[in-house]
Amino acid sequence: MLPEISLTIRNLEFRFDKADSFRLWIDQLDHSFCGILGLHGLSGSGKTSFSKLLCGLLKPSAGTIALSMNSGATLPRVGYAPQFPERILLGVQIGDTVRQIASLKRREPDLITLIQKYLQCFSLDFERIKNRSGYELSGGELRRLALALSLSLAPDLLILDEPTVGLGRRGKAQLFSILENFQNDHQIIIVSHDFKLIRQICRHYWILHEGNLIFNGDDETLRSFPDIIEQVGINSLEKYFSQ
Amino acid sequence: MRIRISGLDFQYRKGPFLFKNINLEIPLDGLVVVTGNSGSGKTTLIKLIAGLLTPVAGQIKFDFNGKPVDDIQFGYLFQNPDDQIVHFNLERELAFNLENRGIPVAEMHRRVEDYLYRYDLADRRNDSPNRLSGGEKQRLALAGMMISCPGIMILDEPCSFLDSPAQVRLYKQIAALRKEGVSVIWVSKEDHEIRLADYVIELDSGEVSWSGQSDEYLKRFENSHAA
Repeated sequence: MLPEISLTIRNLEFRFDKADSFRLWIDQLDHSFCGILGLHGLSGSGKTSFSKLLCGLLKPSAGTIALSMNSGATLPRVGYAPQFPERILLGVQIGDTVRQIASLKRREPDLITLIQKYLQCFSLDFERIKNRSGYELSGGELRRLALALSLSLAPDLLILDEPTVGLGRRGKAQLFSILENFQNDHQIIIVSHDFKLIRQICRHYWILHEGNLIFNGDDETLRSFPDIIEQVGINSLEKYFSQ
Repeated sequence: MRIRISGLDFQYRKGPFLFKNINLEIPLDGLVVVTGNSGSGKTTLIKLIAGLLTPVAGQIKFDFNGKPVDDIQFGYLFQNPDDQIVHFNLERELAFNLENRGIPVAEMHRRVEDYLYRYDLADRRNDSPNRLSGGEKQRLALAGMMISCPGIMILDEPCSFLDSPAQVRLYKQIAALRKEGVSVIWVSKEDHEIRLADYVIELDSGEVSWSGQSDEYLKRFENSHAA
């Protein structure tokens, strides 16, 4: 069953430190998650910082950000698949990473089976890679490993930060096919600078620009904001290749 | 100029051979795109070409009109910008490449200033690279590679973290460099980037599955999709 999750933000501010030229600022946001949400913006707009604030990896400099289950009983479990996939590596060999993650969740045998299942969906054979160092994998293989690990943890809300970077045509198709089923029981946020990807799989968009949330709505609504489309360069690639 | 690869074998540590007896000639006129599925050997091949990895057997040679060329200045962009960036602020990062090449201080300042603006990083010149987003890091890594004006540029998926406007700027810049005679080898899995190429090499599980002019590659690719 799809978990019902709400987000409440009030006067949220984030800076790495006072001297930092970057500042994320969202004064108010109330959102009930419903289907895959796309978080878009130019480089440096604050997408990754906002994602890390959502899952608690960063703390606000001021204001509040809170996720809650509509059932009220517990807090939602939030997972984050990082933009740079090598950050998931916890040991010398890939098998060490998988075992450590599985033991943290205290359901090792089931989780390892699930990880193997997702790796298989991405055409990766756990037996073949488990004794290799993560740094010996190609960029695409490492991305697929990181995605398989984060999917297998099955959080209520999974944030995938630039999940298609390094994936070819086949890898993207495999990810879309996995998400098709995964979205039935989990809320998902796709963070990407690639709006074509977001438009392809997300129902609702958030667009950040220079640390501010400048759009919160669906595709139909976005079409009536040509200034935003221009501001974040949504059509720049199409324009370049049609010249 | 051409790259001539003969009898190339390569394996990582004591693992299986990724390349076995590869023979390949690559014309370095314009933009060469190396493509293929993940794990096919694209990054390994360009690291061997740049001299960042050493073949287990075989040779990689460069020649111009049949005469060997051995004083090539490579610029190499890593797939992950974190592997490229070494300094604690953006100005120092850009100056580092030039210092290593003994560029005079006044010229170094001029070029650093120029590249900070060209890559839209001037506002963040004193920030630590750790504070940059993925796309900003990739722009910094690109600027650091381009600033020393190498003769051959080898770029491993240079657009992977770039937003669309920054991608367009890079495509325009590469087009301008090609006009100036700079050779570019570019690893990409994106169809629209293969369309920009003059020559395409496709790898499949360590084998060269295609090597030829890009228009022929695209024709073959489109036919296989139409079938």
